[in-house]
Amino acid sequence: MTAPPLVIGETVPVDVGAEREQMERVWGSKRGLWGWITTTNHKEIGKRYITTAFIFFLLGGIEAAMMRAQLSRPENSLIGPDKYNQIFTMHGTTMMFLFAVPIMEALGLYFVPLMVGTRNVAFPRLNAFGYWLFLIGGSFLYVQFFLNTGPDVGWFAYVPLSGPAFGPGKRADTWAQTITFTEIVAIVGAIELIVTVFKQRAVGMSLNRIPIFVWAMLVTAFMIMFAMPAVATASMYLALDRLVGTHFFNPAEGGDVLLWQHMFWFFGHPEVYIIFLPATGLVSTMLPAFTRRPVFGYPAMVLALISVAFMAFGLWVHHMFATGIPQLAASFFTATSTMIAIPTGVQIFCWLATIWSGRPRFATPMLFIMGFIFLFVIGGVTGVMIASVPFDLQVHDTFFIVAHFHYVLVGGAVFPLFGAFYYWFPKVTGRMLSERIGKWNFWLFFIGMNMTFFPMHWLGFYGMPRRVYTYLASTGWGPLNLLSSIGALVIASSVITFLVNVVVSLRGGAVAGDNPWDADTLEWATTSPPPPYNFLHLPVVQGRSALWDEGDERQVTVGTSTERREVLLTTPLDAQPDSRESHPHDSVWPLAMALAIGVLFITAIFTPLALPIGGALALIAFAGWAWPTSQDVESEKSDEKISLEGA
Amino acid sequence: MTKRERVTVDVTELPTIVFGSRGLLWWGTWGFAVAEGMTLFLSIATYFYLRRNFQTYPPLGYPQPDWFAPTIGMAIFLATCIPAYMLKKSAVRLDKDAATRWLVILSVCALVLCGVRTIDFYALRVLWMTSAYGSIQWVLLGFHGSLLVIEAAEVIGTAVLFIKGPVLPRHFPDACDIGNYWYFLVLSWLPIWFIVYIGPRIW
Amino acid sequence: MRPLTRAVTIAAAALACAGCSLHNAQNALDASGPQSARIAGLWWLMLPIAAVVWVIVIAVMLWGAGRKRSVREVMETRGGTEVVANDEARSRRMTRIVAAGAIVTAVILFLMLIADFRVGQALTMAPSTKVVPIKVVGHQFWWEVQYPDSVPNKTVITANEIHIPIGTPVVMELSSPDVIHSFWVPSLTGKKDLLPGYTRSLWFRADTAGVYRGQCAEFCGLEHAKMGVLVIAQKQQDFDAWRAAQLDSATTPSDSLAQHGKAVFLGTTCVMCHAISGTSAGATTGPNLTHLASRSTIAAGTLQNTDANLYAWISDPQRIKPGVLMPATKLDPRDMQALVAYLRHLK
Repeated sequence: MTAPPLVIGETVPVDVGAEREQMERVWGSKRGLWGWITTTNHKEIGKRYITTAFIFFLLGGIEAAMMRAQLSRPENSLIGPDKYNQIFTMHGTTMMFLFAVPIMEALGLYFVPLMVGTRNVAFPRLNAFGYWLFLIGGSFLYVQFFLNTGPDVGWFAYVPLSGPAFGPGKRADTWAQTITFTEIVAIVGAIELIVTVFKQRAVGMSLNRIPIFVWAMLVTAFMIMFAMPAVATASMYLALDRLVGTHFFNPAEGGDVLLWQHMFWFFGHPEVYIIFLPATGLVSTMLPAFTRRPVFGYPAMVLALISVAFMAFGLWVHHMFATGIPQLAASFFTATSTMIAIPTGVQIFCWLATIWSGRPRFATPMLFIMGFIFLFVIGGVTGVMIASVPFDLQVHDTFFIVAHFHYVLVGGAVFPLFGAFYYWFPKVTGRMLSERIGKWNFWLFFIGMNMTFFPMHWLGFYGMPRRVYTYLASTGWGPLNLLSSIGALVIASSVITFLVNVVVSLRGGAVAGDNPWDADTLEWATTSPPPPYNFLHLPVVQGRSALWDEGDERQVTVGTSTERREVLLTTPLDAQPDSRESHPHDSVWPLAMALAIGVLFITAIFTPLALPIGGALALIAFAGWAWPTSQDVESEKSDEKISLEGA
Repeated sequence: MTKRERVTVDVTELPTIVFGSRGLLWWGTWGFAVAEGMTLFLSIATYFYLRRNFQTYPPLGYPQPDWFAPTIGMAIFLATCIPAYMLKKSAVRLDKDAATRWLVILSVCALVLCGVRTIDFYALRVLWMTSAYGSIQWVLLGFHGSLLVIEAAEVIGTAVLFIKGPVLPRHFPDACDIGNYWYFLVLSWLPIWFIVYIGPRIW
Repeated sequence: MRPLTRAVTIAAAALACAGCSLHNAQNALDASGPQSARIAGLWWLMLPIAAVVWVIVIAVMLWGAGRKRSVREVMETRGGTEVVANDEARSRRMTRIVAAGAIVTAVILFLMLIADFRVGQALTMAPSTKVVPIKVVGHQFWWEVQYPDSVPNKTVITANEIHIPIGTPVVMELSSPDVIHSFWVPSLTGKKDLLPGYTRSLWFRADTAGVYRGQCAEFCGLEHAKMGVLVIAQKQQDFDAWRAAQLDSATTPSDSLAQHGKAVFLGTTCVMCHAISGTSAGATTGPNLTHLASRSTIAAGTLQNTDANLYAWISDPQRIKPGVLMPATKLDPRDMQALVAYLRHLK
């Protein structure tokens, strides 16, 4: 029941119902639980990725609230040191590894294929595997926490405190394995994004036309590829020291405690930008919709992203000034840490120019964007200050730093993220979030944020170190801490407001339509929510602002199969059509593989038998994953056109 | 609401099976190779960082690692580039029989190399738990060894598929990428072999 | 706009709070030595620059967002929606402004770098004059303090309270046998880590007599929060007198209660960790108690050194510092009183 194929120059008829049905059959997942488990649709996976990461955000937030409760007055006995140390470790680990990085990647995995105009990510099964592994790793950490064997050595897990001699039990092992999980997940996501961006862009979307969010995700993905191996290697050394008695960090046997810090921060500093760059991408991509003009200075923005990514690998030692680094080295890292403010400054100036020369609309996402600039610049200027060695030696490991990086990470990443929730919620669900509740959400967050974190600058000067479960009344830190704790309550109320908004709007929010913000990127060219195949006909891009530059008609592609899952591959630079590649069916094997790897990692903490058992399970899962099914044979026997060019 | 669409590009005539950097898998393979290469690079960096903590190398009281057997092993490793190359060649020719043959040969090579790797461990003449020197020597070997084992599983699995299973056209580019990854394995072994077995005699 | 006003008020209140400044002995901005004074100076230089930068950025943003739109922002229909028409001349002008902004940023950063390097230079330059060498060893969760002397038996060993003379540079040799700690007395100088496997040095000077508090700044385990340290800066002659007194062995008490206390001390588990010179107690796992009564605090700057606190501490240290390595000592009240009396006698 296929209609005659469309040819070049023809207008797509209004009635494409039959074609849609056919595509729905090919790309849709089975109904029910089985379909839910086996799906490889990037939007399904992206949605649950975002939801899961957000649940971790809530958990991390509850931990933060508990800490603020404990610190609200001196010598409070609400939470003892043992619990407190677990809680702050969980807070940091959760927010960095289970919330911030995954949610940015998840947004990328959901929106990058839509923004570049393709049907799915490059390796759909790998994508599903990544999500399941993330879920298993995160759940493992929390199960351990609820069993009172949560890590208690800080999210940075400095040796020797986390090593075999001072970290008894399985707590630090839990931390190390959680890192292994999340690291693999992050690298898997990064490879998905890189390949999708390089090979699956819509025809005509040459590199200089990619939406800035996609650029940001691409740059971030590259950073992940080079940064994550550092923490993975370090956590492997730690696990080996703890489990089989190697001596990487044992000074008595030629090991070195600073080795850990170098490895950790070689990852840890880029990590900050792995979180921050996608957030700047979100801002640059949302801003045009609310200023009614393309973002100012596209080339400068892209160059800024790339230069930040390079510089981010050259300043890790500024986390280690107090360890007594030779002065020459310290000066070098001070200089690089200061320099990174220049590209970041350029980004901010470009946003200001965009706002200045546009016609702003103050919808909730725009408020979050402006709040972001307000807060991030505070965190930015304190960041320049702590690049200074002498100044850092005073405030390092104090609440001043806590204040600084919460301005950078909450102001710089969570604010854009909340803006993004308001902005893209209609695309994902088909309904708008309430603007009225949204304004409450924003103002409560904004006020709470400043109340909580601004006083911490002064606490740092007054000598309050980080990671203390209590303090003496004689220190005089009580009132500022109380103010900060009240601020935390305000933030909590803001987050609750957001949850209320989601629940209310899911049921009764205004129906969004395809493009409620009149925005310019490709995801708005399809329905809300998008169909499993994203676009009935893959779009052809005419300019940087895809939907504004296309004129009255949208140019589209025909010729990808409607009989099987197939994506169009284009050339990496110019996005000229190059080949059609078949995409795999839904499969349960990614889940099986994730379970096998999960068994391997988790049991490795307890017994070396994990290796053969987990290995065997993984082998089975691998076979199931790769072995062609009858469905594969069916769909691929059809006239394959083989090209040997470039082989 | 929906805009009028006009067809301007027809991709019907494009190929559905492509080789090398035109396909997705090539990019994915190298993506993982880069991440793994970074891990190896950082392990090598660790080696030199820890080196500073010892006056002599190997540290006082430890014998030099045995260099002879590992060097033979390295030569075998280098030689396996030939079946990897031939595998790629035959895959590009879409020659199923030849590809199967070379996959089997590469599988045998992979198994032999796994055996050689156990000899490599013996040749270290130090245990991982005696000092940081032993630890990093073992980890360098072990990490590359685990990549080798995983790749051996993939090569053998693909060989089985080519012998028994339904071989689809897309498996030819896949086989090609196996060859590419094999090059990465060999290439990354060279510096490790050098710093683990030859290095202690030099620095 | 009301919430914004509120936020500004709160921020202003916090700033004002900093201005009036808690005058306590643990304050990086209440400098009592050249090191901390120079760093505080750096802060008071950077703060206004940062504030001006921030105010300009926010003002441009708010003004740019809220200003009345002139005819220059012509709207046009592109791709079926209203957007601001491109204005080439204006884009060129904005490009120039953004470029200028980047250059100004770079210049400001460069000037700040120079100021920073100058301070860094001054702080790291080792003192050439006579210095007081002190060895500080970090333990979970207390500070061991030694004043080395060329004559071995003139080495003073104490804990948690560091006496220094004013006006003379102190050079500390920092090390740790267990985990990483960080020595930090904000009123005097920035921090320096105590790393297992390394020895680090830190020098500073106090110019005003007084008691300065600090605490461990690197997370070191359960009681990281209660790992305090006091630096007592005093006139040279007071310091000399203190040092001389510290060299004395502990005297045998004259009153019978304290004498009994000594017997209790030497007869229980106390001696397994603590040393009192002049007695058979010579263990070095815990703080040296030879002149315990001369210290103003116990439990690493956590409690005032009083009879009642000592009693409570020895009976159940875990209640006061859960996770501290000192076990509870079960004694009957009479013995305990005697023990406290003896320890209070150790002037």
